[in-house]
Amino acid sequence: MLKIDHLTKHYNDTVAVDDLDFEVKPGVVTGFLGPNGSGKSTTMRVILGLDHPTKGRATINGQNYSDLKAPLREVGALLDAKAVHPGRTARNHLRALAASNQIKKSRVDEVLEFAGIASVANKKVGGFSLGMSQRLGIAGALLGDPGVLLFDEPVNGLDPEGIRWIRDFFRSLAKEGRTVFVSSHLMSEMAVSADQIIVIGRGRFISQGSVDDLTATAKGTVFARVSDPQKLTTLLEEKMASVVATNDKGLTVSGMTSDQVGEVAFAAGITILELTPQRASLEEVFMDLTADSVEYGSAMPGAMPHEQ
Amino acid sequence: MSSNENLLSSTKSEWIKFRSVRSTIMGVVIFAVLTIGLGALITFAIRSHWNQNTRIDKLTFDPVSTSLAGTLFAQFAVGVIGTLVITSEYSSGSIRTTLAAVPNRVRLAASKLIVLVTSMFVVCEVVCVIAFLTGQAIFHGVVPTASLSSGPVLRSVILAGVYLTLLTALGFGLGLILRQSAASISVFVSILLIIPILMIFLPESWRNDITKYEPSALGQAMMSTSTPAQSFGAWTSLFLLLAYVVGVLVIGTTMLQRRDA
Repeated sequence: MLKIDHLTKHYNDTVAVDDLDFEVKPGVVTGFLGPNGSGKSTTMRVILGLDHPTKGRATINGQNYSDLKAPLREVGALLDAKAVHPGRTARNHLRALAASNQIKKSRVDEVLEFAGIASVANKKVGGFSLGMSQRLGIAGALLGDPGVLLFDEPVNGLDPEGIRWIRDFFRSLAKEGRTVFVSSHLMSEMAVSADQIIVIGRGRFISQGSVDDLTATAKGTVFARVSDPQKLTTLLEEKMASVVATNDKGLTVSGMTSDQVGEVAFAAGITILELTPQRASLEEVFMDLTADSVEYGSAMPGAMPHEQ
Repeated sequence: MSSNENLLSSTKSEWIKFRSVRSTIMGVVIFAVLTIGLGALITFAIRSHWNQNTRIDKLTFDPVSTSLAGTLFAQFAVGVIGTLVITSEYSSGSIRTTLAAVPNRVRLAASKLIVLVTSMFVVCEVVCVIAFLTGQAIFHGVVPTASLSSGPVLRSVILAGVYLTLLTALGFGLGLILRQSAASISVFVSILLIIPILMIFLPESWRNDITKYEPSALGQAMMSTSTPAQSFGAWTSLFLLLAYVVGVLVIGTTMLQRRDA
């Protein structure tokens, strides 16, 4: 089990991680979701003992990473697939890693085979595509058959076939009872590959739960198509709902249930042509949750904050 | 697993890494070619002009250090080998993979140093002995030669290899501190080449007291059969240079431990 205990990390004046506190449990795939620059990689680096925390700590099965006797046997990590000496072959890279943690040499061929790069094992890593490097990174993470696995943005650079492969792979690792912690800035990816999701923004904890939990807590909208949209808009806005007109007499209402919208329309004698409650997608939830915490926001139309 | 076993396994790992990159092999080849090849050229030039030398020149001639003169150029190659052991990890980013596998940073630095120093000690000694024997073979019959059966001669040849081994450790220590290949190699070259040039501008009375502390002067003293004027003896020079190198390594390891990777 992986525990983040009131973790804070400053780089000079920048606060990269601000009092993060959560647990990642075994047996499920836990997604670590946040916009770029929200502190996901920093958290991963602190877990692996690469960066020293300013306050708090991260522990693996109750121990600091740096206190682990043979860390690769307990934690497998893929942070940056390209972080390999380009002049070394894939096999020599893995053999060196295996030797450092007293892992049998035969395991190197097993993981090369599993990751699907056995045919290029004796090629220099410098010539690998990003996808092949990701597979080498996965092979390295699996080398010590660890109970905890960390992956930082693992789907980057993978082709659709590779993405499907890696999703199934995460599921099977979790099913074996391992702790699987996967970061991503792509909510759509997390929606299909993770069971549990931890959302952070600007280094702070925002939310934790299953995909269903997260979408349920978000306020949905109601789509209404009515005979007199102008009049209904005025009436709904009097009741503090926010209304956006779409074309063809349609309105998107937020801050009210479909029942309430129907009653208001009925009382005013407005004919309802269509009335549909709309559940927020995980993507919308994510945008909503992190709207205030995007470090490098762009002024895109549609990403503008809604008027309340 | 005891910490000794851990040190053994991380050292094995570093040994695989050290010999599995081309820069190491290239560095060793360049070092050997420069030491032996330049040594042969220089001794050959001396042999062919021997009769033009004055009597004093002939009397003070040192066949040992002359046959090892190629090390003056080759010493930069061993410095680069030592530097790259650590700086290539930073330039490729593989330092993070390495530290995830061996989180104890003192142990990591020790493993790298053990691999570097033992393998380069063997390489440097073998190359220096070959350069010495090549030089004496070229001198043979014309120029007075030296033999390894003489104590001071054996000491000079062995300490030449030790000097070069310490320089490769110095390169490694500078790499630990600076983390960048170009910066580390520049500082290494400055220490051996630029500082002695700058010393020329000092007043002579100071210069004599200061220059003998330069690493390159210590190396010259280590490689000489006799103690040259204005310098320390061979053993004192060895210990001074060792102290410098240990100092740089301690600073480098402390910085490795304190900084974020």
